[in-house]
Formats: sequence, C-alpha cells, structure tokens
Amino acid sequence: MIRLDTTGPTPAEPPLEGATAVPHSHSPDSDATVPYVALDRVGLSYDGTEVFRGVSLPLYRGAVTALVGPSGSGKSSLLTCINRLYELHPGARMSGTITVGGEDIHGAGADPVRLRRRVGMIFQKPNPFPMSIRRNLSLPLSEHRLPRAEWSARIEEALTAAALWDEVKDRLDHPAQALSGGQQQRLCIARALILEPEVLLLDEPCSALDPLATEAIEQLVMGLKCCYTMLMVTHNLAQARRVADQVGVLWGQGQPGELVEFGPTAQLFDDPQHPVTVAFMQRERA
Amino acid sequence: MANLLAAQGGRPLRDGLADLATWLGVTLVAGSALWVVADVIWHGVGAVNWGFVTTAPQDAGRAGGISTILVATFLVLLVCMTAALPLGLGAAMYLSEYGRGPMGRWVRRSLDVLAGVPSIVFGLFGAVFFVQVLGLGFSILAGGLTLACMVLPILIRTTEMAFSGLPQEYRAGAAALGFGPSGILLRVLLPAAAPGLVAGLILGVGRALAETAVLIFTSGYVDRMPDSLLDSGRVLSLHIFDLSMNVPGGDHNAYGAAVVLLLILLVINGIGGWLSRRWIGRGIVAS
Repeated sequence: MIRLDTTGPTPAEPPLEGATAVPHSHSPDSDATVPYVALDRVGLSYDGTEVFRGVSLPLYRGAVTALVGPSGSGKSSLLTCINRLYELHPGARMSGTITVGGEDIHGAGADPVRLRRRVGMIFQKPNPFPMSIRRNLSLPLSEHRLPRAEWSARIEEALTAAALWDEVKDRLDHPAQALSGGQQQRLCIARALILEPEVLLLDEPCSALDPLATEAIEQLVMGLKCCYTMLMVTHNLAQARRVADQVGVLWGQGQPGELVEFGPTAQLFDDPQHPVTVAFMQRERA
Repeated sequence: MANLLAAQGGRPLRDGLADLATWLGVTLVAGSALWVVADVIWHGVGAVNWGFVTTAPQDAGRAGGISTILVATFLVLLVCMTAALPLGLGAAMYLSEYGRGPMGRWVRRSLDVLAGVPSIVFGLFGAVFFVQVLGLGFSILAGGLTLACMVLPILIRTTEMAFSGLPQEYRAGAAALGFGPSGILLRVLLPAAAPGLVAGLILGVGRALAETAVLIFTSGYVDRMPDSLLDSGRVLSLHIFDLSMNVPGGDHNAYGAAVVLLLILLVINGIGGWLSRRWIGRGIVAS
C-alpha cells in the first residue's frame, strides 16, 4: 500500500524540534526522534579525487531534508551514496557509514538491489524509459518478481500517489516520452513509489521544469512527506524554505565538500551561524 | 563598418556555391543509385514472372528460373544470421557496457580491421577452416558460417552504437530501481535500442545477400535443390555473377535474378522500417 497524505500539503513540524512524525508502515515500532537514515562521517572520491568528506547527517521519517550549496560541492554525489548508486562508477570509493532503518548499507548481507528497493531516487532530468506509461511502471514490478495479479492495482495506486492518475488513466499504453516534462517527472516519482520504498532521494527534481510543473512537484513532495524519509538536493533556496523541515549546507568551492551547517529550516534561514552559510544566503538572495 | 558590409555582400555568393555543391553531391549519389536500379529493372523485369521464381535453372541458367537458387540463398542467410546474431548481440552488449578498458579497445580495433578485410580473404579462410579443417566440405553450412564471420564486425559495431547511443539516464534510472546488470541490459536497454539493432541487422543481411567472393570458395556452385545444410548450394549473387561472366546468353536471366535480389533487399528494408515505426508508435522504443 503506497502511503500518501491525502489531505494535501501540510507543513510538517521539524522533527528536531520534537514534533511527532507519521509512523512508517515498514517499521511500526519506529521512534521519530531516532534518524531513519544516518550518515556518519561519509566521504566519497572518484578515482582518488575527493568529492566531499566527513558528512554526518540525520534524516528523519516524515520530514524533508534539503541539501543546498554551490555546484560541485558534491550534493548529488552524496545522494548516490545512500542508495549505493555511486558503485556504478568503477573508480568511486566511499568512506564512513550509512545506516538505513538501523542497517549498515555495507554491512554483512547488505545487497544494493534490496537497498535500492527501499531507497527510491528521482533524478534531475525526468528519465522515463522509452516505453509506454504502463510498461514504465510494470517493469520494476516484473524485475522484482511481484505477483502479476497485483500490477494493475499497484500501477493505479502509484499514479494516484504521484497525482498523475487522472491525467493518464485513459492513455496508459501511450509512450511515456510523449508526456510533458512535469508529467514525466511525476511518472518517475510514481515509478519510484510503486516499489513502496521507505526513503526517497530527490536530486533537484524541479530543475528542468517550468514554474507550474515545479509547484505541482513541490505540492506532491509535501503530500508525500508524511510517510517517507526524504532527502532533496536543490539549488533553489526558496524551494528549500517552502518544502524542507531541515536544511544542510554543503560547501566546497575548489575543495572537497563539507557540511558547514545543518539545522531546522527556520533557524538556518533566519539565523545562520556559519559565516559561509551567511555569505551563501546573502549571495543567493541578491 | 565597410568591411562588415563587404563580408555580408560576399556571403550570398558563397552560400549559393555551397548550396550548389551540396545539391550536386546529393544528385550525383542519388542519381547513380537510381541509374543502377533503373538499368537492372529495365533489362530484367521482363524475365521475372511466377514461373521464374518457382522453376529450377536449366541449361546452366540460360533457361528456367531460380527456385533452387532462392532456396540456397535463404538457407545460407539463415545459417549466417543464426550464427552471427547471438554472437553479435552478445559482443555488442559487452563492448557497450563493459568494454571501456584495454580489452574493449583491443576488440574494437580488431573488429575495425576485420571490417576492412576483403571478402575474398574471408572466402579463403572459410575454404581452409570450415571446408577443410572442420570437414564441412563445399556446403551451405560452410558458406553461411564464413559469411557470419564477415558480417559480424558490421553487426557488432552498429549494434554497439545503438546501445552506447542510449542516454546514461536509462542505466542510472534502472539501477536506482534495483535492476541488476542483466535486468538493465535485457529489460531496459535492449528494447530501447531495438531500432538500432534492426538497422544493424538490415545492414548485415544486405551485406550477406550481396556477397559473392566468400561463397565461391565455401558454399560452391551447384545449382540443384540442396538436400540438407551439408549440401552445396549456389546463392543469388553468385548466380548473377556466373550468368553474366561465364555463361554466354545468360545476361537476360542474370538481370532477372538481379531484379529479384533488389526486391528481396527492398522487402527486408521495408520490414525493418515497419517494425521500427510500429515499436515507436506503440511507445515500446524511443523515436
């Protein structure tokens, strides 16, 4: 069952301030004060060149964490550590530890395929496969050997959760690439949701979209936040302020990126502590 | 300012000359292809009828038709593609997904060298390896396998291009959904690359259908109906060559056979194009 807050977007209280997050159906005994995903001194290098280092970050259930910072500071690379997608690059090496739901993603018996089913990812550019809308959604189900009898219901659920069902229900067999950019991105979100993940990684999901499509995605993210642990990379500080409960600033101009500040959204925007964050906020506002 | 105006004034002439050169080039290429096709049809269409394609050649091919030749041609093509397709597809997938290292570079260089080897050399290789060493004799099997060696480089390189031309986002997207390497290749990349694969297949079939030199040394000259794949058989292109070079009075039927060969190529191209359009139309593959 795909989880969705059907009452529409509601501003979630930052878990750091003690608010109660919606319990996650995968682990009903979960404690919202314990991070569901925890990064501990994580670093990444490609072919010996460090991209970022020493990043420790707690991600809570029922909250969106935004990661902001200049280009090249390693924000997108950091996302690929959480679902071990960095391993597609033969020369990539990760240091530190990441736990998802208390399990070390590199621990004994850990498997990237199982991990990626639990940790969905949405990319900067919508990337539907060059197939029909239905096939885009049934392919992951078939790859993970989910019973064919469940496919139709899961497809409808995922498209409904991604606020796309009404727009495409009569043309499920049409090419996915004929959809508009915003619809394609929502299809990609549906494709990630269909596997019922626990964590969603969003890598600048609106950067290729127009303002209307951006608003639709933001509303969708806020509607989904009740039930998922979400980490979103964005260049758009206003978007981070609108959508996120907590924000981290990854900084590394010419140097390996480091997390210079992290905290509840309001605190970070209204009263940044680190001089780099202060300068970054001022420059972005200007 | 004066220089700028002079430069702008000179541009229409230069643009006009470039246009002329482009059109001349296109017209020459298209014109010569049309000329060849028109010549073949003009001289050969009179020879082609139902009897021509359903009766066996008589009097060394001067009379009768090409039924046995067509059967031998399709059998050679069948052997060739049965051997070349899985090998070609496998090699292309390896090169595109894992072939970035020295091994991949070495394989690619070898394929480029192989693609440039004259067909007569492949023929000699087939005559020694398949006909003599493997003891297949002058047979459709030996001819088809030698032909497979010849079309492999072109099949692999076009198929590899179809795979490596796919956006990296498909691979990352599939991997992020928990697809394993084989799932990414077979469920996402293979259907997405299908139009390119069809193009490679058509090029390979076209090359195989047009081939003469390879088959002289391997599948032989015999123009009777082949009993099995180990029987000798004469293919269409070799029949045309033989009628026009070695058989006085065979030109008429040679042109007739050439018309049939052209028709087969057109039909194969048409089927390939139709398949691609159908897949694109149904959203199975990218346009």
